[in-house]
Amino acid sequence: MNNLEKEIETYLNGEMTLEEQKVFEQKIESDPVAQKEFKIYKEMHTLYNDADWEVLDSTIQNDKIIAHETFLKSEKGKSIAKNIQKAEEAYFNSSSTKIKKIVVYAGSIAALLVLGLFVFVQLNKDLDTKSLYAEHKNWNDLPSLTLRDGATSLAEGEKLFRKKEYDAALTIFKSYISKNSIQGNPQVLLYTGVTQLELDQNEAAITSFEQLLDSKTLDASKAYWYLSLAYLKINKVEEAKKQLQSLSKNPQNYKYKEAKELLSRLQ
Amino acid sequence: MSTQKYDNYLLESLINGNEAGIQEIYKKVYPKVFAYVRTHDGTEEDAKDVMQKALLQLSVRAQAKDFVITSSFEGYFFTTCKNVWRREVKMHKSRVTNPTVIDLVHEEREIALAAYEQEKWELFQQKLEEISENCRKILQFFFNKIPYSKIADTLGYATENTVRQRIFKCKSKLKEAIQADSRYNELKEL
Repeated sequence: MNNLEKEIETYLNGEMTLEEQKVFEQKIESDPVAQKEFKIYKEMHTLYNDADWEVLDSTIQNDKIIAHETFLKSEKGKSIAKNIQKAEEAYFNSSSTKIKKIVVYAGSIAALLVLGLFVFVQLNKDLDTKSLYAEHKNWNDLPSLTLRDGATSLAEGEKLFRKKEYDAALTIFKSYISKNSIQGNPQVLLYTGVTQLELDQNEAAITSFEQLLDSKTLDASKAYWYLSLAYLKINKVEEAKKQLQSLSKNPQNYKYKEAKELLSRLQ
Repeated sequence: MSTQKYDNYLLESLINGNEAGIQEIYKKVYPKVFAYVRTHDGTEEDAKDVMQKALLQLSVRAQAKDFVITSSFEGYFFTTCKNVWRREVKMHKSRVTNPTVIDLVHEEREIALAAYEQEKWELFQQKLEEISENCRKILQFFFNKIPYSKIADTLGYATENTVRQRIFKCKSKLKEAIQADSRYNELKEL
């Protein structure tokens, strides 16, 4: 067994300390042979993981890619793309005529249901904000902490979070924040807040998101979205609306479309 | 039509852009793609998008004279669709992590890249099939991040350490097999 392979494995498994990682990365950079070995192991780790995919740098130059691209831009390539489009339309049109009859019946039933729902919603405003919260909380949207930062403690925290071991995860996030500047990794605040929401520490969650908002980082505006969710959770509709309004001032903001839609439902 | 003939007809339709044949592919595969995408955090729009991209990608790749599908067309194409969705999810994640990078890659390049990535993925899968079954099993667990302790339990290894050693050896073997394949070197960027 050779040492380089051992080191690569330790690195890719996330079993190195920050110091060790730095030393290893420098070694890889300065040694072409080691670099080649590292590259193929890294490819294996991505390509054999069923939940992952290797997305190549879009500026990569390679004969095959260029040939594919040239074909797609040719007359033939374009006409194939057009016919795929046409086939799609034809497919969806024919399958929708089949269900038209059912739709007519379903339509009248739906009308009754909507009427019922309206009465139900009026009677259950409180329940409604809770279900809006449940509908919009999607923690799968959270960016991965491991992608951005080599810090293994964060990777561990994220893992615990995904396993719903929120107490343990929160301890890790808090200790990271106490030792590092928020500017460096504002995403940790997102995780902290969301974890607090899950633990029903709603006020603390709001404080975390507000800290993110004040952080003046690129991710700061994401705080609007999470703050609005937190307020919905505790049934403070006016506060939630305020956050959504701030969010929807800038179409570049995170969850702009969702915020608009949610806002209109809250009016 | 025999199954083989029917499969050939579907592939030929895709190579030539025959609308009726492509519609057949929709009938056969789209409901499955929709079900898959929906159970993996996607919408109906996403499913339609995946289907279009996968069709175009496969058409491009199948233009090569030596292109063959060794399994059924349906199975093969569905795998392509799953991979296209995995790609979309991965791209979305990295965009969320890095919102300042708005990569304006035009559509043709996007499809060309995805086609190339799919080729690389297939090569790696094929190599995995070629090593011993014992190695393949343990590596599949390992790469999908199953803890060493659980691998030891499932496959009947005495200790975590024996599992580690076994993985290490198998990984090294698999790596050598990939490196020895001339296609791996062709796939490298210039």
